[in-house]
Amino acid sequence: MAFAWYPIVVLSPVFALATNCVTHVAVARMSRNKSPYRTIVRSAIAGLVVVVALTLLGCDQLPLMRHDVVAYLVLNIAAYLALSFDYFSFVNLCLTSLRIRMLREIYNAGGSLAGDHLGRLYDDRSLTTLRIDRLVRGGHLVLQNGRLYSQRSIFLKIAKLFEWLRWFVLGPTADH
Amino acid sequence: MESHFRVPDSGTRSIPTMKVSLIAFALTLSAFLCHWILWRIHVPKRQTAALLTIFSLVLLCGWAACSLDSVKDAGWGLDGPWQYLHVGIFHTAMMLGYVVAYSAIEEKSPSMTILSWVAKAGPDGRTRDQVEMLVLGKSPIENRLQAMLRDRMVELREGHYVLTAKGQNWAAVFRWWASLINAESGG
Repeated sequence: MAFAWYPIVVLSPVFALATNCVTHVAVARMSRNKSPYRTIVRSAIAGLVVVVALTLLGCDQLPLMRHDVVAYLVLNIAAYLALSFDYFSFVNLCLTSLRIRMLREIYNAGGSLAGDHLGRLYDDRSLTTLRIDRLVRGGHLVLQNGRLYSQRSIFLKIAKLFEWLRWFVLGPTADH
Repeated sequence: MESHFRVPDSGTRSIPTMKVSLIAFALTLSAFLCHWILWRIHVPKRQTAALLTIFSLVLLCGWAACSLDSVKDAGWGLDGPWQYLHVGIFHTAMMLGYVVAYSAIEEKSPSMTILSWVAKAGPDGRTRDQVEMLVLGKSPIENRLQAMLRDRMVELREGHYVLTAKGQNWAAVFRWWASLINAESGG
């Protein structure tokens, strides 16, 4: 029954996202000392394989023309990449977000913390120092004779891309 | 050769699949265009909620339009729940992806601000104090606390930040997930 394969094509980005999440959790638990981003990339590739395989498998069982198969493939890969980006952002929030860290700090303290206490825990100046040090360590900035210089890095390109997006979406009046 | 699916008990029916992809892309593009035009007129206060509303409304309108007989007669109708779901999954994935990317557009990351600002100085560079003053002026802690208050994650009661039910749920989810993947949170 050929029609039964269409739901597989439709749901393949969801199955692929599930593969991505399960693979990521499994790999992250097995390899404790490795970079978390490497495991995210690997599990995203596993999901990509699943979405391509399921879409091609499903389309193969349906009487479709080649351009229709390509259209489904593009649609499903785009949907999967968007879902993967959401999952990556969720994991990234767990790893790097100051907001989430503060939220968890309040949670761990029983659900309430004094503003002064939070201010002492997350002192603006020490956080800024940490941030600059991290950018220097990561090779995004160079510190020479007390001055910071820009380095060509992928992060700088991303920063410029987001500046352009900010201008495009929010208009010329946006502060950038 | 005509493109079609075989539908059980009803013989063969012409369903051009490019149509599903084109409708899905067109709806997402329309939602983005609506948001872009509206933002040029007025940027709403609760931007994420407004984005989710716009994208959801466009999807519902698109689904409704594709079920109209006149649209179906023109060859642009969707047939059966799976085609509606296919368009819906794509649209929802794109909507969530855009909302996530938008948060970086809405609020500039301090690290990205530093990088761009130092890059703009060119070969002269910037002193460490200058960079610290740039970011300190934006008070990252205060900004985040304000955002948490605005999103109703916490409430301010007599100088104390108190988690709301929503904040407690999110904190529990992030805590559980971080422990599941053996992650240390940063900041």
